[in-house]
Amino acid sequence: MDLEGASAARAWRRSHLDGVLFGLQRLLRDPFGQMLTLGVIAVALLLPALGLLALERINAAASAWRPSGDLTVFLSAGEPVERALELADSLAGRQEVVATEVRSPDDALAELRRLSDFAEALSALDANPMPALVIVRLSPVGANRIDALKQELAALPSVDWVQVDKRWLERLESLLEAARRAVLLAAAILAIAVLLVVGNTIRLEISEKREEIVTLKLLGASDSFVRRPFLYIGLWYGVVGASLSLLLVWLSLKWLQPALADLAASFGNEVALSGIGAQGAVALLAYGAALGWSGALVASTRHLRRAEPT
Amino acid sequence: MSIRFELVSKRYEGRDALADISFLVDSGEFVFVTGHSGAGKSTLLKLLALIERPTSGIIEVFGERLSKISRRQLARYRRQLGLVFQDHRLLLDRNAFDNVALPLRLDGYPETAILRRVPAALAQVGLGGRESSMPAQLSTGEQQRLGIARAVVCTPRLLLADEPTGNLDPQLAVEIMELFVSLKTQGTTVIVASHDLPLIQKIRRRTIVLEHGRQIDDFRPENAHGS
Ligand SMILES: Nc1ncnc2c1ncn2[C@@H]1O[C@H](COP(=O)(O)OP(=O)(O)O)[C@@H](O)[C@H]1O
Ligand SMILES: [Mg+2]
Repeated sequence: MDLEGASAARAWRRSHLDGVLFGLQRLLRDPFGQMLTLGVIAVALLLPALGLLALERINAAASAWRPSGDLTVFLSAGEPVERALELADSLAGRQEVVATEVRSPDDALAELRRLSDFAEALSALDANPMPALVIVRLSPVGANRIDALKQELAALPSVDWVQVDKRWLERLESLLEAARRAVLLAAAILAIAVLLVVGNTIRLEISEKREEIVTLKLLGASDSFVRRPFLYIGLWYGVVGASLSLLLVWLSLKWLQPALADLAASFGNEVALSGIGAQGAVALLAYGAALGWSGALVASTRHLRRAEPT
Repeated sequence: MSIRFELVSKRYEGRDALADISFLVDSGEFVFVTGHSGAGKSTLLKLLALIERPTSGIIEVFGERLSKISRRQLARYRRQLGLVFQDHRLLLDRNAFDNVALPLRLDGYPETAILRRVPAALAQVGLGGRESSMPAQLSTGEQQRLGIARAVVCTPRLLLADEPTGNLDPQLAVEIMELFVSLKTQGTTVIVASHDLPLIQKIRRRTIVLEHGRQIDDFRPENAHGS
């Protein structure tokens, strides 16, 4: 029993080693014949890789730039617009603040009229119920202490309440989320394309080797033994295709870099588009390998069944 | 008991390739199956190798009913067999050594044992020193002998040979049959399908005769001569 286990393990190890070498040889024997398959894999990995990389950078850029969370300071009803102007002046000198803007109660009422269906009802009022307000655009420094600033301003006697306006940020975030989903959806569709292309290549490989497969089965090779070399062919397709796509990622970034540097500079910050990184590269290779292996698994399970001796 | 056939029939498209075949074969016995072309010799071997399943009847090999062997157990069953094919079925992309080593590798023999056994098996069929020849570089007769070396290399319990001497000259054919007969010492049961009557007469072993799928004779020359 022990001996049997040892020889089974030996046969298993050996067939894996043979599989690795056979798969690699197969690819090297005719690398240009495999260009279509490899090209499809490379592009199918390149697009999602670039997409995710871009999203990551945009996210990083957005958070570095998050400054203009705005504050809107509502003065108490009845405070004259002059009080708002005084407040705006005192804020304008502070480093937390980039700009201020004052809206008089009249401005506010006019805007409300324009926007609402209650124009008739509003015109019936004798006194203007709208408060004066100051819109404060914050610098990055201000954005960092937006809550403290809100409290400070709210404590002023002439101030009724302070509203933190993050809507644009939320909008950006939901936009990024939508983009992320789109990239993932594209990645999934491209992954299916890879499975089909690898599967088809393996199918051809199997039909070319049909006689040999039948002979192996007649000599007592198990299904998994017969299948193993084809799985390794798939694995190598994935790995080589992913390596090609790494090269393409690198080239794309190199080409995009100057344009992005200009763009970043115009926002006054350094959003360097660095490479995919060692971790990203390993992840991409592993992803390619897994796709290649899976495509080969599906195809070989299907087609090897039919290669039976007659 | 090594093999039991009980009323075994195999029908192809309404025609019987084998009809109601029954016989027993002892362990270590050597049996010829003969008959004209189309008599059903290859079909009988295919049933034993589980390449085909019988239409009716029972086949037992080493006490195991072949009908009970599932697809998944097929590989394990076939590893106890040595098969010699009419068309050799060599793997054309590997040399003589690797062709013969294949059954040993499937069985997980250590590489040291493989290095010992493969040259010995090649020498037994007169292909000593041809380890690195590719099948395409061998003559038809040499290819046939390579197939034979592959079938005997791992001491099979049952050797099934379909016209194994079809491409060999008479002297070499006799030598190969003597090799098969000598496998008895290691307990191998041998079934040889052959329509080479002169050879069968020379070797003088039990012979099952088929005609149009029916068993018309089963004789033992030793007994006939009282030996
Ligand atoms: N796969 C098959 N399909 C249909 N008929 C077959 C098949 N295999 C064998 N036969 C028929 O079965 C009969 C026996 O064939 P076979 O066993 O090959 O004979 P032998 O080996 O004695 O020449 C022949 O009539 C042959 O035509
Ligand atoms: Mg035949």
